[in-house]
Amino acid sequence: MVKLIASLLVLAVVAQQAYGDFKCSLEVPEIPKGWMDLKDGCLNGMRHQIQEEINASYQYLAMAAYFARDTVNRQGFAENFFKAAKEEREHGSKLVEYLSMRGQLTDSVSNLITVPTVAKQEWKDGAAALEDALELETKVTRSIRKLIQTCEGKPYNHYHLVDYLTGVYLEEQLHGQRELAGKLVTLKKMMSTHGELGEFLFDKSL
Amino acid sequence: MKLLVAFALIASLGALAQAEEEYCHNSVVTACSSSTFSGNSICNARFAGIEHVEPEVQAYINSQLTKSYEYLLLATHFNSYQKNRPGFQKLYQGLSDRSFDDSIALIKQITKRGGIVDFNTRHESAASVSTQRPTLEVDELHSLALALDNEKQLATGATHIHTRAIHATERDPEMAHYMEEEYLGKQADSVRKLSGYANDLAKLMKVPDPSLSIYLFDEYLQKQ
Repeated sequence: MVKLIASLLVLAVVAQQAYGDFKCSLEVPEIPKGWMDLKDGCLNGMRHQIQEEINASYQYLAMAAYFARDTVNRQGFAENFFKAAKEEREHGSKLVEYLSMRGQLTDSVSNLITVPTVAKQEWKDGAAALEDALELETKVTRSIRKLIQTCEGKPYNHYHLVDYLTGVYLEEQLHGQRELAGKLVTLKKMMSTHGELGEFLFDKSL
Repeated sequence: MKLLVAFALIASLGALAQAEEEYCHNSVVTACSSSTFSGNSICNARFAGIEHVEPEVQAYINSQLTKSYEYLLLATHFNSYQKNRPGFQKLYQGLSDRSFDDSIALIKQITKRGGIVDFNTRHESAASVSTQRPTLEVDELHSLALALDNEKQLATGATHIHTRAIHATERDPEMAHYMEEEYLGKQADSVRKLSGYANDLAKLMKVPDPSLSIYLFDEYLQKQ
């Protein structure tokens, strides 16, 4: 009897090993943590900046959708804004990748990005939209500058991130702003006496 | 008497349809004779069943955008050093980019048909998805299940637009054709692919320690 119970027990253990619980999640091994040196303030600033980029992408998408309407029919503007929406999304996702590279985003990933709404879905004319676009870029630039200040601050200087934000992000922002400002001035000149005709011609040149 | 009423009704319906078709012409005539054109638009590109499909396409655009960000975060989850699964990351990043590009394609389609896009109001229909984001910090097999469910939801949304396009009182074969050509086949492929992945991985994981199976499966996903 004892033998039978013993053999049953052995069998149960073997069976457990052979067809054991279906295990889906693996344990996370312990490794040194010293290399993960992104501090809270800078990390939260980065998370905020990611959402800013996504918000900008959404706003550009709304601009593109407006100018793509048949009753508005400014396809040049629409294509430009579609391109801008893609770029902003790209900026956001590159910042996300940067955080992963620095050892972050092992948790709290689900709430990193919320799907935004847009403040505006219709514009008076092309100039009004370009003006909004310029304001939007200025807002993003300011937000990046603030982020740089946070990450550069004492007692811990995030040299690499600050360099990246300055060299890649600010670089792109400043050139983008200049380009938008140039376009806006040209368009306003063309529209000052010729209104719709100026906008029509400008759109075809975009 | 009844016959007369029915006849009058049919006649007036006909007149309405004609008015719709001649809307542009009539507005031009009115504008030119009164020598004022103050409105924003004089004509439009709306025809066939656009009234019926427009809200459904709007809902579907918002669904694609919602899913695009969900996939982006799922890719991010597998890109962390603790997960370190470049194959899974690649899979979900690809789906995220696809959904974003599809949103833009749908915006172009709806505006081609004289429709507009509304990013803020969420029309409740079979073409819309929940904005409540599920927890994305999940294991590999679980993530495939999430993705498969997502792809089915997007397939259902596309099917719903197609159904509305061919069964509403005013039919819209152009929109039905567009959905067939651009979405139905593609969604079926993607559902099939993910179901295959989920079943394969589940089989490979029927071992006491599935860590090597998952590693190898990730290597396989990297090459896809």
